[in-house]
Amino acid sequence: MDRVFQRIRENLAVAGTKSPPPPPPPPSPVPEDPVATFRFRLEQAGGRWLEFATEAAARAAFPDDDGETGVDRADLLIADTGTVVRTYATREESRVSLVPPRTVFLATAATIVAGLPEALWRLAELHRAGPAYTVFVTGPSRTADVEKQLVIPAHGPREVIVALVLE
Amino acid sequence: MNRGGGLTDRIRRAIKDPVLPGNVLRATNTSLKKRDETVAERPDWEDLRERAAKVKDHVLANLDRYLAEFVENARLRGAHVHFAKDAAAARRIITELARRKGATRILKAKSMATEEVELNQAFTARGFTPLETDLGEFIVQLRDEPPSHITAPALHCSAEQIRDLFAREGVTDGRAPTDRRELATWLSLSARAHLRDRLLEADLGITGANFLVAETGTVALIENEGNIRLTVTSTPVTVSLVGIDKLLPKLTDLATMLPLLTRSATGQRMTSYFQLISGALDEHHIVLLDNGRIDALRDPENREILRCIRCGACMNVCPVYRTVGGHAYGWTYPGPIGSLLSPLWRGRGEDHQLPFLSSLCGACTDICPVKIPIHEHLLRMRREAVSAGRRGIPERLAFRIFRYVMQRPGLYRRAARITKRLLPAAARAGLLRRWTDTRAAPQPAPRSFKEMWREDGPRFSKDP
Repeated sequence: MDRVFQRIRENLAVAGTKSPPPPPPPPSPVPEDPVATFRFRLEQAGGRWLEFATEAAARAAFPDDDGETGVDRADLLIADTGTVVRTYATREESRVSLVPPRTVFLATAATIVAGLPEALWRLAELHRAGPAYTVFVTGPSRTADVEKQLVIPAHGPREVIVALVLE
Repeated sequence: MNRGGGLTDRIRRAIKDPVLPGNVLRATNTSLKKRDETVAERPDWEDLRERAAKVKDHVLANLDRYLAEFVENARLRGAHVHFAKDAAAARRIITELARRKGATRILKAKSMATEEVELNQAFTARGFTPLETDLGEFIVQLRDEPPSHITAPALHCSAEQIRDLFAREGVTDGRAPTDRRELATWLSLSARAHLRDRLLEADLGITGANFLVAETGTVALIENEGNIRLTVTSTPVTVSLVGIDKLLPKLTDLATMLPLLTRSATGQRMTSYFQLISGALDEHHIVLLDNGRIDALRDPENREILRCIRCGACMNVCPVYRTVGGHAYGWTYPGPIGSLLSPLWRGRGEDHQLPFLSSLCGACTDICPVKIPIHEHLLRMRREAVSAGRRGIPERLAFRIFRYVMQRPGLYRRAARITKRLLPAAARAGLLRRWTDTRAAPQPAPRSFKEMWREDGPRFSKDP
């Protein structure tokens, strides 16, 4: 490995000038109504939006023992793209939002961030601290490999529901 | 395989193919339209491009530092980091690992790096072939072809061709829908059902990566199908083969790169899935690939080419790619950026002819999300190919004669007079067939500028 670094350094020395480190990406514009923006983008990406008064009501609506539904929770919601962000403890655990045909993410409005920079900003701390596995989910799985025609689902879920718990 | 034969043979075969040019044109048009729609939503697009170019330039100019940081952080988080100097080393490391693990059921997520090192062929020689899990890759694997586009591997195939292929290979049974609009859906869902069991459990998963993050030792992967997530989670051992040009300093740099990449590649604000894997898998091997990248750092001009984030937009917009498709180029990376990467990274004799496969219109430069002045580099590489004596004798002779004549005004006038008379005659006699088969023969002006000046005087100068 040391030889690799040595070779890189030699080649860079020939080329000379070092460019300065770039500034961090600017924050996203904050939407007037983050919940409405998230919902609009989620539906645009083919996802569904539901609201429940309590978590118990949401869980009752989606029993997760039917093999059809994976009930998961969202760590963060990205308003700008309608994306759910979820950090899993293990690879097995992550299959809840991958293998069953339908995924339900339980979420609260407090977890909404404006855009990708804000989400990454929060995740950076976690990933700097040690091993971490994070998945961003934006709508159902899809493919367009046959003549660029959109087909849902591909190998993942056909349906992605974000269930907002209001309490 | 569509990649056999010399460059000219492959181009001729592509142009004469009854369906390929139409397939490529339709698919690239669809991609461009979606790209334009989502790019228009970002008023800060130019600012993003500028930032992305700066991020990449900074990483590449300090690659030793960021690579060391990545290796340290990935290892701290439990990943195994390997280094492959060339394609043979990458093949050896990965097939050896598979052998040690006794892996026979191997899943492969879409990865251009594994195409670049011809990993599947190495596995096939050992008696088992990895299963391509991406639909486009699965199609070209069945066709025994390499991908023809870096983000849409089977873009050169029509739905009817895929229908016949799937029927022949037993992917589908029963009758295909006759309505063309239903065909793509039926084919895609059939492939899902056909592959399902094999995707849910296997011994080894092989991926590429879109980015590596130095500060967190992260492998970042974007996708839409869920096949990469399955490849990563259905197997106890994961290998990621990644070019060292894919490094980023910080996790937040992804906020600059990702909107550029997804919009340029597929016209999406965000893809269905985006994974950040920071050493959290049971057993994760990261193979860092050089294969010509370190040598390319030496020249600051070439370094600019390494900014590439493999979105494929330059292919979609290139009038040459849109006519001949990807296989004609002859290597993993086709299109305008491929015509730079192939001579730079592989550098076989024929690769140095690729920069001539361009109209130099500059559409690639305009669309590039990381602002690589692609057509300027194509022109530079043409110059380099000429000074290295890589062009044929007829072309060199032609330019010699041209230069000789242009430096002698008397000779030029006489030559021009003769050409004026000979050109229409030559066209009529069919001597210019290679040009006139597809284009009108050039008609010389009735009078040369010198003649007009002499006979009419400077009257043009008074016109606005």
